[in-house]
Amino acid sequence: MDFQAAADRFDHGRQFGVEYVADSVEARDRDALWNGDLFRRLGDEGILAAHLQPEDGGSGKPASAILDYFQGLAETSLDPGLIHAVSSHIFGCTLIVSKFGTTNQRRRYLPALGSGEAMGAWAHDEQARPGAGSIIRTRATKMGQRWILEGKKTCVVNASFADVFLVTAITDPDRGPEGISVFLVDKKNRGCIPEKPIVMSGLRTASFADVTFDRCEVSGDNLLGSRGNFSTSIHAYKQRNALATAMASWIGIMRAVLLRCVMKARSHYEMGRLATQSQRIRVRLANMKIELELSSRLQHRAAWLLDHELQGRDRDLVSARLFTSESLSRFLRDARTMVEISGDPQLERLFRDADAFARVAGSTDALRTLLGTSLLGLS
Amino acid sequence: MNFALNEEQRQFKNQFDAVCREQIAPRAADIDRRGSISANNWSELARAGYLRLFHSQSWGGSGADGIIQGLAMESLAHACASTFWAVSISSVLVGKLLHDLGTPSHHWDWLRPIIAGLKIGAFAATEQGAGSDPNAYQTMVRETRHGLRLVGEKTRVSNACTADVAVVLARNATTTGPGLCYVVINLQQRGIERREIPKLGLSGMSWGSITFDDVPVATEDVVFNANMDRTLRSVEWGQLIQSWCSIGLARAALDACIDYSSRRNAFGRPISHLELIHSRIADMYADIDAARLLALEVSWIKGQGRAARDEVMMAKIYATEMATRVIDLAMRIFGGWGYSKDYPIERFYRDCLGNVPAGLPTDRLREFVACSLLGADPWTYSPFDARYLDGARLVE
Repeated sequence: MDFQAAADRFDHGRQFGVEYVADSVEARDRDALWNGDLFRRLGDEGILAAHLQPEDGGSGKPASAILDYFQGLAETSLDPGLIHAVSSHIFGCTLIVSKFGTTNQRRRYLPALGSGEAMGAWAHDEQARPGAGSIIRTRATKMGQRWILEGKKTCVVNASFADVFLVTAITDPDRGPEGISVFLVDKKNRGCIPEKPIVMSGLRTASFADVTFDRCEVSGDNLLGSRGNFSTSIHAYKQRNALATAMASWIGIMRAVLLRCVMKARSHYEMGRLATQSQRIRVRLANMKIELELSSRLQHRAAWLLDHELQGRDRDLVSARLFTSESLSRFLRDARTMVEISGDPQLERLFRDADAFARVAGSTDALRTLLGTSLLGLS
Repeated sequence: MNFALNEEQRQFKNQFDAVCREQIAPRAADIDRRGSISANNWSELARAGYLRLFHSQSWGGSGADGIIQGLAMESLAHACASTFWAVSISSVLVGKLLHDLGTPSHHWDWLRPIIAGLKIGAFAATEQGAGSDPNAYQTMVRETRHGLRLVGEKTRVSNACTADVAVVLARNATTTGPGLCYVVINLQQRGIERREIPKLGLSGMSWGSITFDDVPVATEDVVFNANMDRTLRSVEWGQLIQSWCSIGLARAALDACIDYSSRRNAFGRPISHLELIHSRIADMYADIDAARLLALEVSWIKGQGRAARDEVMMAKIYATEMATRVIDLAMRIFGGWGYSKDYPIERFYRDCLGNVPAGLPTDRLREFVACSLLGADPWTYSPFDARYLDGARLVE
């Protein structure tokens, strides 16, 4: 174990954020606009294919390199919506096709997904049903060599602009969780119907929508990998990716917010003296700094664990995700009190984004159950 | 970065964990009841190499890497916080002070015996009316016709009544100039009185006052340039001790909770099936995990002989306050039994509290962390001025 840090890990992301993203984020947030040009430009930068193997058109970089890039990009762009969308594309679609797709599927989909010509989405969540063991109700029925998908997925990131969906569906109802498979569904498939974008209070620079699959017919070649492999392999892989990657951009945001709060304290007066002299403000800033540093280290470790695919360290991933989520809440609570003293529209937007992120990224209570039952030997 | 233990680190951890689990931990409750540390603990820790980990081979140490040092501190604190404090204050904090500030003769006379477990050291800084404001210290080294003399009283000193030697932070009242100095002083001499101060936790460790009544001091035992920067750098080791003590205690509480909730039945099954227990266990684990990762990094930095000013302050602030929260949660998981001396939680509860104010209180440290961000001076405060309330006041 050692803590030797690589220098300049975040510089490329920071630079991209300054050059291409930061100037337009306020307008995109106001108008709830997804910007496909930025996405394609990230493709030109090689970010969308960075983690793919060379034979799939990528540069074989570790996942931690992408997460470092996201941290830097978030810090200067202050656009967590964009990064949420791009992260969903990479970790929720491209890498899953790369890992579990057949040779034909990889050849067919990865060049466009890696270059930014095509955008991917992970369509899994559905409206919860009381008493249901699994949340999945979407069915895929085999008709000869083809599959017919029927069901509805909710709040799918990138749904309105995605060219390819990875869709989970029940293929073998009598096999329980092992009867769930994943399908590659092209947007142009008849019966694949993204609905109206969901109007969100935050993360408005990303796009969310429900997607209905109404007798959506796909060929047998569109079954990702093997039948029934969602619970046996894809789910665990997707979950590890999500645990390790979800919070990366928020570390960059926390760093930027702390800096802004420090600058505010240097220019703001409270009780007749500079805020830098206020013990109350000092304590808040120190707490924010500590939350940032603790979370940042846990996220580095999570990225490192993803790179090294170490077995038996999944508790560390859940712990990092749980701590960082809670830490972000505490951090923003302190930041909010700093903003109340002078106001800052950009910070107000980030607070909205964080609230929206907490809703779409999944409940921390589910993480507690996962971690707690594992520690207690119940799972 | 590499977040996996290497073979040497893993092997050490397994061996030292076994020593702590099998030999130290079983005595912890008795040590707490008796109010003194078993001599066996000192000799077994010396034999297991704990005292040598932090020092170079040239002074009888083993020169272990910082990660091993951190793992060892965590394991010992997990087993017995009183033993951990007493032994680590002596071999780590005082050992490092003697090494960094002392002369070769201090190294021979005190450092080597401390590392060998033959002598015990104490660091005496705080006073009756002064803690985190060293400018208010009254204990002084002064010149007389008969040479230098040490006068004053130090209080809230760990190992006060058991130590053989103390490093005393004192005001320099000699002609060499103002400021603070360190005095290395043999505590077995006339003019020195020691008394225990009753305290809430860490019962096995001696903690009290040392009075110096015109005690003769040799010039070579005074280190005159004890500036604040140098002092804070040495105190980093103390803050690291408090961080690991808290993490070890919090982990011990978590382990006890996992064990207890698997055996304790309610509503027809073990309480480990209750959702709230899952949540509390998960929160405890995640909070400990965060503190532990930062403390390991600080240990790694300190093990390389570098300063870790901001990192160690953040580790101390977070870890010490985290342990009080985690052990409070443990109390709730244990219900009424948490309050009983039949279980270790009440001891963990008492033992963890002392880490918060020790070695500069966490609120004071927050100001250092913030001032480093703000470029502000943490040593000056403007007085409260009621005019800025704009007339607002409560009518009674």
